[in-house]
Amino acid sequence: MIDLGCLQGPLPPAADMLFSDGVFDSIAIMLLIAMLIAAVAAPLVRRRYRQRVVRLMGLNQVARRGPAVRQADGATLDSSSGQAGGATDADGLAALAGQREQRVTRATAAAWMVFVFTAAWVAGIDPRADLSGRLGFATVAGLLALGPALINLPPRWSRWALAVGVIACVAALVLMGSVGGDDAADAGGAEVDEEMPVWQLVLFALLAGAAYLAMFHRTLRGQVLPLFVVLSVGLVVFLAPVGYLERHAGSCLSLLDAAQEGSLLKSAAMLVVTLMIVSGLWLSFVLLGALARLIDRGWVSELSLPSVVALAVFAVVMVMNQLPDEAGSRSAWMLWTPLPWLAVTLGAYALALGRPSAGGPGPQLLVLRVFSEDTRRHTLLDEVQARWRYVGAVHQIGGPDMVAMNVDPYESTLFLANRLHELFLPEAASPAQLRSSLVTTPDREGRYRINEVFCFNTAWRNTVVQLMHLSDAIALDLRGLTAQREGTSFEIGQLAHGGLLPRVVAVGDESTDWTHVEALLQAEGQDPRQLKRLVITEAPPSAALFTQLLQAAASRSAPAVPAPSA
Amino acid sequence: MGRLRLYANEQGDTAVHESGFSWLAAISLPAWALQHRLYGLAAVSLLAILASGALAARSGLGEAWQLGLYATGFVAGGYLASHLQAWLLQRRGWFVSAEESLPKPRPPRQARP
Repeated sequence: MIDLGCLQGPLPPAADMLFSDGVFDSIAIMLLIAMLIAAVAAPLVRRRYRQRVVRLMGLNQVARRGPAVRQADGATLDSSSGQAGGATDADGLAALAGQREQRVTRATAAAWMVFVFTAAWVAGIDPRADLSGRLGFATVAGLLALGPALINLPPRWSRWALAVGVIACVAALVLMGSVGGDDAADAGGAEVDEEMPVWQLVLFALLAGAAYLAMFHRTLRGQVLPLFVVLSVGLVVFLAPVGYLERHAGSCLSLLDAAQEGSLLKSAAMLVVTLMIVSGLWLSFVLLGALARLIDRGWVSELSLPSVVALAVFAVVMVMNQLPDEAGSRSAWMLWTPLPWLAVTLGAYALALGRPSAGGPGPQLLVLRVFSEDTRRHTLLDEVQARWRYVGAVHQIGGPDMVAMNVDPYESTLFLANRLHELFLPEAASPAQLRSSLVTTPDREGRYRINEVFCFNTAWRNTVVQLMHLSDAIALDLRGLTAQREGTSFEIGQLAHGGLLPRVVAVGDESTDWTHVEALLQAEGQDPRQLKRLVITEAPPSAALFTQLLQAAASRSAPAVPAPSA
Repeated sequence: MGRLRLYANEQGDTAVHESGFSWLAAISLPAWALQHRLYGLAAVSLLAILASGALAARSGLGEAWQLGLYATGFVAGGYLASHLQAWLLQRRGWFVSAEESLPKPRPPRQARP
């Protein structure tokens, strides 16, 4: 057995210690490493996620499960569909959407400004920081915070925002490297000597820019946050005890290192290491679950949460970079500076948002589409759903085309935990079950949820029919529709059969087989002229589609025209 | 690519099962077992790996033998994991609730004239 006398043994040299730079710096570096790995791994995870969704969609139920068929977590909704904010006509709904968008935009701008102004105060933790140093620090903070701010804005505002953010990130890092003082350190926490060549600094900045791009890219950011949480918590939980033992366990760790392979001591040490890794993973999933519950309860949206986390990481890294290196010149309160910095920013956001708006279920939009792999086609639907979220919930059958855009922390957590199948409906759920799985009330920021309903092959037909009847407006994206697209053809037939055409706005382009659409409608005894069409020739007319859908939703009170019996 | 199946029990709990070779199980059977929530198997396989490693080190096996043992464990773990999972689930009374369709058989090749 190990001789406990090693506790009194000499500590290893400080330079060899895991936390030789101090606990705060080491944790900041771990956070940054976790963020970089998460950003790099996100495309791979997205690919695997999409593959898994496609395979689960192909499952056929062969035997019924027990009574406790689990539904996706979600608040219970009011089954009656009311109109949001009291608006009932299309103009009123459009105005309401505009007001709510402006509210979030104003709050985001206020939070960004407070983050930047507070940065000038935070810069004071370095007593040598003069006015120009503070201004430089605030400028870097402002540039880095562009990405988190732009996530929270409507997509049409941020069309070029990501490119601006990436350039800003690269510029910010170069600036940090160049104005960081005599012992400048880069944003990654790696020491940047005065002799560090410019090309290395630029290379690092470009790498960080690529990571920044992944963090805030529309189809990647949904994966980055859960990965970051898993990696960062795992790293901290695993390495923090090691760092503590290094400083307090004398020479015991060295003895463990030197123990013979196959000895009981070595085996026990490996077992402990494994248990620490498992504990770190378990804790990270617990934290992810807590974050997902915050979203489920409407405290934050899946858009603002990544912004907050990114701001927190930036704040920690910038404070680490700004802290003076001289021993004894750091006081404990300096290490906690990121907390008030972030708290003030979030407080400004909450204050600017004001009280939550009226929380009734607004008009509900169903998005039906051909599952196209053409990402350019997704832009239109993404813009419309992003805008519709300010008046009501958006429903769609989860498919491989939009999953990467709409993935939220809860779905991502289930995927990482190999439990994604729990989101899928194995068979047609009852209307009550389906309603209970949909969230139709807005979160505190005023955004409604995008409800992706995942179905096995044996469930989607009944489910989509129920969703059609539940929704006030239906966007039917027929771009790329041919007679071979049996799923969309089924949906068109059901819309006609249920007399739901007044709620529908069909979007098509030169690839749409309109003759096939008309034949399907006529087969159900409906006049094809009833179908409102929006034919796209050039730029996707998201504003026109949004307006027409609002009109369809506003006329929802008119009774549906049932199909004449054959 | 193996065939995907969903197992369920009377309480409505579900578990995904994929037949065929598993790379994760080949690399680390305990990690694979944890991912599939087979905690007992994870603990047993972890202890078995540690014990076999200790035995191999103590018995003075050469590097070639150790490499051979690792390769055997790699292949066996990868191939047997899904069978083991199915066996464990069925033993507990779980049943196949959903499965992928069998791939459509390819049309027979036409003999060249």
